[in-house]
Amino acid sequence: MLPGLADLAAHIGDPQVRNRGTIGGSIANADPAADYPAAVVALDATIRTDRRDIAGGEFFTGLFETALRPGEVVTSVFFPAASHARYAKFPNPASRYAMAGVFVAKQGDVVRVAVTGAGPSVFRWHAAEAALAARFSTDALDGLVLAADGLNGDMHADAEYRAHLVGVLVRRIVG
Amino acid sequence: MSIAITLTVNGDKVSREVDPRLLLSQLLRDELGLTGTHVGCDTSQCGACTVHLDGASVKSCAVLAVQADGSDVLTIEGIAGPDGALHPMQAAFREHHGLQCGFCTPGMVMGAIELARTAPDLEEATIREGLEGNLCRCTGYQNIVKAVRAGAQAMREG
Ligand SMILES: Cc1cc2nc3c(=O)[nH]c(=O)nc-3n(C[C@H](O)[C@H](O)[C@H](O)COP(=O)(O)OP(=O)(O)OC[C@H]3O[C@@H](n4cnc5c(N)ncnc54)[C@H](O)[C@@H]3O)c2cc1C
Ligand code: FES
Ligand code: FES
Repeated sequence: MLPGLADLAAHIGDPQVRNRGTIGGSIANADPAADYPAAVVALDATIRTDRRDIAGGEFFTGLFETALRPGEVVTSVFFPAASHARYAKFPNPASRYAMAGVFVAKQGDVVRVAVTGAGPSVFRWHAAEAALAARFSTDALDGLVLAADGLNGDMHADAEYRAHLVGVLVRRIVG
Repeated sequence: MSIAITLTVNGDKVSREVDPRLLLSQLLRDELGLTGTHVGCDTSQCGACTVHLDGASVKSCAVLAVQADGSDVLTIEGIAGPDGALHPMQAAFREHHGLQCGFCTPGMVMGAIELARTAPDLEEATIREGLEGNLCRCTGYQNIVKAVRAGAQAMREG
């Protein structure tokens, strides 16, 4: 149903990490460079906990922060189907964490572009979404540049580099 | 507070009362004396502590001992034959000189055994990707890749 999601999962860390890590642990931890958050937001997943359902778009609230309350446990995550769902990441060559990772999903007329690794928390690139909703092709993205303000800069890459990477990844996915 | 756990390690039943935060790597090394499982980083990066938990390779520094309750654990000490004959993967590491200092080797061998069982093919790229979770500071990986391919072939033929 969602090969893009399976592909994302297949590139998390290494075999031993994948043998143990869970999606609940990954999203509850809300690492700014984790992969699953991009899928949760782009596909508008529903996070079910032992207390309630949380919309994917409202789950991640900041750097290592989520809408979960103390003691609340994620019990399942539902991903709705999409006509287009693909993830691309530029992995840090040492850790394999995303320097930038982008999930593009198209569900009916709605397009969501969710970006992980580049900011303090996963976020949507609304300008790219609007362009792709009008026409789902790389031409629609001509001239579109993500602003580097507020993006992460560290020893691996500065904010401008990450902003550029996001643009490249979106084009790779759509093209 | 301690918690009672029972697990199988290399075929032997083991029961212990453990601190809830005790790592599987600490249980193996400090409590059971199975020091073949090495600890290189303790942060789940290097893979030296790789063991099999119910048949799947895991970094034992990233598993709590209590999480292994009821499980079957296989370490590097448990893979040779009863007569001491090396496991085909161990034999291949020796034959192809897949090690220098040997610190990473137990984890490499345990990771490689799973790779041999699960990899769709034994191409160099597949082997390198399959060993992404195991770091070696000495060899440059060339002979490790050779050893893993030969060991995996021997396992598949045997
Ligand atoms: C070497 C290495 C490489 C990695 N590479 C990547 C990568 O490329 N991409 C990527 O996305 N991630 C990567 N990771 C992170 C990995 O995906 C996470 O460590 C893993 O998913 C965490 O899941 P867990 O079940 O082990 O959670 P734990 O580590 O057990 O828990 C993490 C946190 O979440 C809480 N928690 C766990 N489960 C739940 C739940 N169901 N409900 C509520 N709270 C919960 C815990 O209390 C804890 O605070 C890497 C990790 C390592 C060690
Ligand atoms: S000691 Fe466990 S991965 Fe390094
Ligand atoms: S042989 Fe020394 S770390 Fe691999």
